[in-house]
Amino acid sequence: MGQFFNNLLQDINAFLWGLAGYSSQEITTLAEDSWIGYLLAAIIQAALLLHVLAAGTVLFTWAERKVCGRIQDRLGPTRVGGKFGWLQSIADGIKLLCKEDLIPDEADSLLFRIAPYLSISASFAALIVLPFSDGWVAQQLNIGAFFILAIMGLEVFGVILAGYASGSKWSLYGAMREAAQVISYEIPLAMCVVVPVLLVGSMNLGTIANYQAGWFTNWLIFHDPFAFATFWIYFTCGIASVNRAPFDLAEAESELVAGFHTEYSGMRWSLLFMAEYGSMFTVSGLGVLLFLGAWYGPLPIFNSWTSGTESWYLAQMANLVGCLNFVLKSSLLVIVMIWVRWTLPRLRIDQVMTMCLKYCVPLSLIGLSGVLLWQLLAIPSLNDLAPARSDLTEHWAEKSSSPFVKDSQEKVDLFDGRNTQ
Amino acid sequence: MRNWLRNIFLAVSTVATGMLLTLANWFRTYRKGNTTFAEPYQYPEIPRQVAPRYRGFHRFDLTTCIGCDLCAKACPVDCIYIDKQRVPVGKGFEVTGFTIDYTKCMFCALCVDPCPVDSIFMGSTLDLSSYLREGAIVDFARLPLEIAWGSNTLNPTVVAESKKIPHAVHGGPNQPPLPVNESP
Repeated sequence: MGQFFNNLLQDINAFLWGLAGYSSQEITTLAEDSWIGYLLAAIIQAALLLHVLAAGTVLFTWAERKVCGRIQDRLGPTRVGGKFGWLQSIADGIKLLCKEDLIPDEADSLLFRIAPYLSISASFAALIVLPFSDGWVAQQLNIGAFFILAIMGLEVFGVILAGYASGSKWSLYGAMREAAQVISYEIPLAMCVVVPVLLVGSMNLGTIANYQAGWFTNWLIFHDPFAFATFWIYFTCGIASVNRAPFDLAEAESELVAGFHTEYSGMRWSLLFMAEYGSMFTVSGLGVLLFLGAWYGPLPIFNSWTSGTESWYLAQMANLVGCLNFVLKSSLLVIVMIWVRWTLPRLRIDQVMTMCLKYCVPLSLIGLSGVLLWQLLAIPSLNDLAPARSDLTEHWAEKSSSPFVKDSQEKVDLFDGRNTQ
Repeated sequence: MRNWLRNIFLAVSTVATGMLLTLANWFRTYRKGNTTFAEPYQYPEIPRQVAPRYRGFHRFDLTTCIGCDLCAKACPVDCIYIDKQRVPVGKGFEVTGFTIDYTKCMFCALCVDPCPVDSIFMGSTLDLSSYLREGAIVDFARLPLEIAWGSNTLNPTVVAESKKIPHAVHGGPNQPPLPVNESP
């Protein structure tokens, strides 16, 4: 028994060191083979990310109510938990927990119960590859951008199932609208995501982020006018793909009662709700990573700390600042989404489809070709104004000595090419 | 093609206009001395200031009402119900009930103008909430005189109390004071 615990502790130790990038052959092989260490690390990371989802929902619902109150000349919640109503979302959560869990007689019971979990799993799984700072990511994938898009597209299954299984015509209408809308908007969304991927030459979100190190002129949104326009198309399609107003046709209150979650109550309903707010954060986070300089602030203040790998603590401090930077930028985008919701009226379904097929798709294609031409003709770009130091941009690639990171040498070469030419 | 470009321009410009409008509204609420509910514990605890000619719940003077029915006739939604009976001595009517159904009332103030004795006005009370519809049907003749005539004294408690009173609290102007006092 003692031997077992001894082995277990060694495994965990080895795994954590392995994660931290210590590439001693012996330790890394141990970490790779040790499923217990892998499991424990996975549990820790999952727990942390779950808090992003839960705390994010709590804060964003509160922010939504405050912002919408202010826009409508009100105050929003002021009573629960002191002056600003900080605890309003917690109170709502307790209320939802205490509510009766209803399943209609007409409902397909199994599917009805599965649907919210499917929705929130998809929303949660997208966070796995979302880096919060340099190396602060649960699983660094080479195809991070693609993975996030693919997983977020899965969320629609939960909604369609919820609508179908409810046994109510309103829910079914909501689900069908959602299916039509989200699947259509995946196309321009993916087209817009391709632009930064094309500029950097990698689908690795960390690589794309580190490409934008340094001054704010290095952010990909400022690469050229086409990239600038592409960001706004991305943001519009992002709002549409997470079902926020003015694209919230799936839950159009004035027409469909509450759309796909008409029949849901209590905790199941709040799971669907959490999935929506989690996706909002993910879409905003992806936008920040791809276009708005990820975890790098507008001025390169803490960059010297990250590059100096001699001090581990300084690097972690810089990472912490970067994480705050990232969360701040993403939250700002979420607040813009809230602001949009309380400004624009809901579109009709034909207007939504027209906007996607006749406007967003061609515009994103124009953006893509524009950026392509810009690169091809080597037109001077704002990004070349103050290029980041090469040791910064390569930093992420150096970290890939961790056993679960299989970053190819070619991308590192690509960086060198960009910075020396 | 031109139409397409025009649509894009229109979409972007109108969305930007709308967003700026709401942004202005949003930040206007942080302004000093703004007229919204700026203090968290302002409204239900402290009565809200209303404009001088605000049309709130009525104020009514039973001591002058002669029961002429002019207000009830003027009412476009017929929400005023007046109960009256001839006085035993002399002329005129004794008002025994003056009920306004606030589930119907639309606060148009058309009842105020025709009153020959100026016994009904719009008050400044703006909230009268109750759990039952009964609480929105107010019999002013059964309210205490100072509550019925006060400009913002109407409240759910006194309305609930008034439901228990069997008779009007005052005989009205046409009632000779002596017989009323002797016969309860």
